[in-house]
Amino acid sequence: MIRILTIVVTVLLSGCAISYTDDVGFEHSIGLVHSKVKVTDELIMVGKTSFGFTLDMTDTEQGFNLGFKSQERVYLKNDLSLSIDRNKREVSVEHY
Amino acid sequence: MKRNSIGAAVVLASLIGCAKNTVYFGTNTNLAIDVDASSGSANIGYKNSQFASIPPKDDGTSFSILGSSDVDVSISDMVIEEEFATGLAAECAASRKTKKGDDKEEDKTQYGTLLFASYFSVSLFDVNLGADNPFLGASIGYKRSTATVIPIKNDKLRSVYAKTSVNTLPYESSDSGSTTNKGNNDTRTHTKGIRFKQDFATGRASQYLASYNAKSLTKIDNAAGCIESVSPPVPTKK
Repeated sequence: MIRILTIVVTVLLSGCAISYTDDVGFEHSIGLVHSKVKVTDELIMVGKTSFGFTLDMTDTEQGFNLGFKSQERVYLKNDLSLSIDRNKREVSVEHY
Repeated sequence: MKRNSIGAAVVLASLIGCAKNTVYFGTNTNLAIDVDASSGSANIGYKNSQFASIPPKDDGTSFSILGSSDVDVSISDMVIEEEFATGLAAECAASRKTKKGDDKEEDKTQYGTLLFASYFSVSLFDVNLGADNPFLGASIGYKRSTATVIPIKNDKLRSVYAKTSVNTLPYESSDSGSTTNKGNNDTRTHTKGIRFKQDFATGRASQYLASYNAKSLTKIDNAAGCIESVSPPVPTKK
């Protein structure tokens, strides 16, 4: 059990990633990062998952993490409703 | 070593503080050694919290905000629902004068960047810094957070409705008629797991949803909301 745990922990901590915002406002992510971006007429959705050591120095996030980390940001236009169901993995937008 | 690290995080967090030009709403669930800068608290073990940071207007008066938190937890089940409305949506939900078509327009030139964010970590060490960071704090263990960040521009707060729910109650197929056509208010799980659901709305959508959810937002049985029709215009799904 301890051996399995040791292997799992070692693998999970073996990653490394760094994110930062440059002088002109672009956000950079370098390293072992799974990034997902959804861009539609209504919203911009940015998700980032990393494991191991993660260092964030962006405009919106600053800090560091040792382990597993997942974060998501959604920017929504006006006169819309957005529903996110994590179990169904559904994102729906409704216009009013 | 661990004690020193937590102490350093507490000092760091207390030195940073929260931004004064932003309204925050959020939920936290931790199974961790945790220092939460938003509430200024430290915890070892399980903690579930809802937080709001609402600075006053420049003239000392308050913004229009409605918030509701409902936590129902037993050994086997958990139902947590948090919802809030700001600006015209809050005024709409609190209104008892229903008039058809009274969904006010707001000044769209006053907007800042609205952000809905979620955060999940299982870590040996997790530190979040920055005055504008809604997840400010430090933790060792499991952490799940959601936050809505609404900027204050020219001393005005835009119209927003948001609802976050965590539910372990199973969905019964015989209850299929209980769902509504407004964002599906049934938050029970279809997978017998834990269902995390987030709803956000802006502008007119926020006024409609706040009006529809006026009773749960205000905890007043005869709350009517400002929009007469319980059913909003049929939304266009994309």
